[in-house]
Amino acid sequence: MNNRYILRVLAPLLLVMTLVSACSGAGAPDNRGGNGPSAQTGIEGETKAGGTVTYGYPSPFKGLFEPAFYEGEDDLRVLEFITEPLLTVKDDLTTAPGIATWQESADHKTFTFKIKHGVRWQNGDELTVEDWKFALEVIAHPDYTGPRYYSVEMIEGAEAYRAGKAKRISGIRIIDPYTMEIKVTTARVNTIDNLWAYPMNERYFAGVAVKDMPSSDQVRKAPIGIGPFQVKNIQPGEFVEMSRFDNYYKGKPLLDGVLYKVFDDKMIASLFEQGAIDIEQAPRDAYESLNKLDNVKLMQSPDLSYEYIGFKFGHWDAKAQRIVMDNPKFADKRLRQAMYYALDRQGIIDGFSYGLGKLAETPISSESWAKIPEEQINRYPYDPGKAKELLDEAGYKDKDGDGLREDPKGAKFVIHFDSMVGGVNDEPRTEAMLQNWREVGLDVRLNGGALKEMNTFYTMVEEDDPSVELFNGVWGLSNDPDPSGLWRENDLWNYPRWSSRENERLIREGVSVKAYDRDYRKQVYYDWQKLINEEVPMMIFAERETIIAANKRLQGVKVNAYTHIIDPYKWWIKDGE
Amino acid sequence: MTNKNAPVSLMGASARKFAANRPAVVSLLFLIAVLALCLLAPWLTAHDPVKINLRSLNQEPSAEHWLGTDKGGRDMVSRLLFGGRATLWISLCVTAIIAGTGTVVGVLAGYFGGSADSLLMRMTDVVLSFPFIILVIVVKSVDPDGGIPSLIWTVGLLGWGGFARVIRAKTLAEKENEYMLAARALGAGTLRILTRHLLPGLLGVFIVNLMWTAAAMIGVEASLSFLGFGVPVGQPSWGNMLADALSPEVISGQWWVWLPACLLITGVILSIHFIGEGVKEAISIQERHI
Repeated sequence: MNNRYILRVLAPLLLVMTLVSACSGAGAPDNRGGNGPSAQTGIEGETKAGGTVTYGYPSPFKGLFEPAFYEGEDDLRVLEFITEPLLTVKDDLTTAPGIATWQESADHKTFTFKIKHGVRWQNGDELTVEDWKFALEVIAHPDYTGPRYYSVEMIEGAEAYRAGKAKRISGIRIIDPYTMEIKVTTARVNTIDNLWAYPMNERYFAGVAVKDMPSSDQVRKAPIGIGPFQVKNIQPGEFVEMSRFDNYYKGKPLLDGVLYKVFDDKMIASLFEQGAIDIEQAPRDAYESLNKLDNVKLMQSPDLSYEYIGFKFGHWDAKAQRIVMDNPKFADKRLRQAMYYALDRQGIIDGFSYGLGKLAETPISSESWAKIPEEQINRYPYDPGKAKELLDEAGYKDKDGDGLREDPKGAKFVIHFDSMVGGVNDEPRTEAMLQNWREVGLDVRLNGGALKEMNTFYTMVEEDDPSVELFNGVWGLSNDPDPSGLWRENDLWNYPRWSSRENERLIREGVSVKAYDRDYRKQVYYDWQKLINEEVPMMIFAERETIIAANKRLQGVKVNAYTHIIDPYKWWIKDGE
Repeated sequence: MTNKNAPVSLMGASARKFAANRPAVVSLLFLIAVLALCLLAPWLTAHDPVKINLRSLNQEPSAEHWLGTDKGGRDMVSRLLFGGRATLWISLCVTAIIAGTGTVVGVLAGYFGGSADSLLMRMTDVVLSFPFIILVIVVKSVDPDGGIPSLIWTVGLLGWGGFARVIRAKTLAEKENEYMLAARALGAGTLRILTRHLLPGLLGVFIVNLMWTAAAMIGVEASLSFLGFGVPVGQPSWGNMLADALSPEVISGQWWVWLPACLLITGVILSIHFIGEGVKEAISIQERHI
């Protein structure tokens, strides 16, 4: 998605870019593993070892196989097989101990972590807290270009280290190989949710400068992790071959290996029918045809993600590391609201996604305690009349009688729209949106006359290509509702390049000391959602429903709101199916 | 009297010869019917070929939609008719560009010979050796909003090489005829010789090549659109309708989406070829007389 982008991930677990229609979201927790089943195949009990599973993905992957650097779900899906974070997330979206356990001081500023003994890297090294510290230092390094600075910036001394003023991060102290203490600058209610929890093998990366890491063999060709499967062979953009890692700390995996392979999503039903794919997050438009297959089981789960259509308000100033709102095209709020009213979102979901999706108007997951009740916001129901009214009021009127509105100054007003290629319904789905806007007199056209592949799409959006004006993207969310990482003025992933004083204030307030009071924090997020709902920096389209299709021979698969790759060491293959 | 009547009776003979060619006549009627239907499309169907209709996606043929609807709920009959307009219009325009350029280049090269011939023929070689698809893709990415006109110009300006060669060869042969010498001996100017004596002699070759080019261009539109480099996605054209068959579910379960477009493309190309053959035979009568 496609495609399809980076930045900092703060609060929310992991923010991941995902495809619009093919896969519904990948709300994979960024720096946590998920657990807790919500649906599952097969019964446990008589398991059997052996066999290889093919995991399908619909878009070429970027190949950044290191948690600190990856950007989209394409690479994340591989990482979920080969490595694990040291902390996990429980079903109620709170962070829980995993390989690491912690104690928090009374002032919420000092955390003491202890990790399990005997956890092995895939090259045989034992995992120590040095590896964790190394990961934190890489992300805080001045040369680090990945998107995750947010997840270390709360550590005392990280800022000085990033600015090159310190040789080490003062807030990290190693007590022994299994114990580490981290001090943070301010008490924040979501410190532990945001803290980076993936280790990086320090010895394995010896001699590689941080700026070279994204292109290094350690990341691109022979990544290692602490997870149940190890990378055997990578064919860039095509497949990743993984084999069983026998010294996995939870026990030897049952499968011999996993083949992560890129397929054309249009073929998904026949590929499943032939048994070419064992498991894939299925495009919603293939729902019906997959449902007819006898050898496939479909699992459904609400997704921690939202689809949106963003407006470009400016660009990213890489030097100053902040947004610049210098594009006046969508400055008029009434234009943005009118475009929102003009969209028949429910019709589009029903028509092209088999109703798999839930209308949403604010960027906080409805699974979260911080989601504002629907009656407190404007739901922007499909209302072309209202849209026309708003446009008239804002001065966008058809002055030359061609049925299309000109801008208030009387010049032709054309808006370019970008979206990603995914499933077979993308073309009519996009066309339906364009026609919705055309019906209220707005000349919205497909930028470049065609949909873009996910990586191209996100690259153009992130680099603020001047042709990108209106873009249809998807964010996978993390568990904590803090919008930092996607919504602040210093977030690279703030793709609309929109912010306001009130927006900054509310986001800061949501993680302040006062926010240790859950009710106060909730109210802050309600206020923030009202602000977004009124300002419409992006039209939040819907939350998605994830569909995982799995061949019935594959057993032990569970899905939850963040992922469907849960404990893959327990996956096994049943004979005769 | 005889002189005046001769062409008439020759025309008559040609027409009779053509009429005797069953496949050609049937093809002609078929082509006229298709053209008429496509041209009259706005009056023949009440359905908008582009408008997405969320409440009637992927419907089977019914009384309301004779050939069902596609994945966007668009009526297939209206898409076929409007798609035919796009496809045939592209074919027509491209053929006109090719025939025009090809004839001028071919006649000038063949008639004048010498360095003009060398120059024009090297140009033709260059055009012929251009990687056609790659250039179309490049133009498409440089001028993404160009749509159909840009497609027409690209294909037209790249496609005249073969046409020019055929016309040049025929010109070289005609030039040696005695009536040309006679015309020159009588003091006719170059322009008069070219237009009054040479061009009529090329008519047969011209018409037959014109037909083949038109048929080929329908195929070119269909294949470019199928690959995604032709008519912009979403606009109806026969090639775009074929592209829907890329999805296995459509191919196996929704024949009405792709089969009619397939049959029409095949039918129209075949009938143009039959007509071309008929015309060729009919004209050969005249040529024998000349």
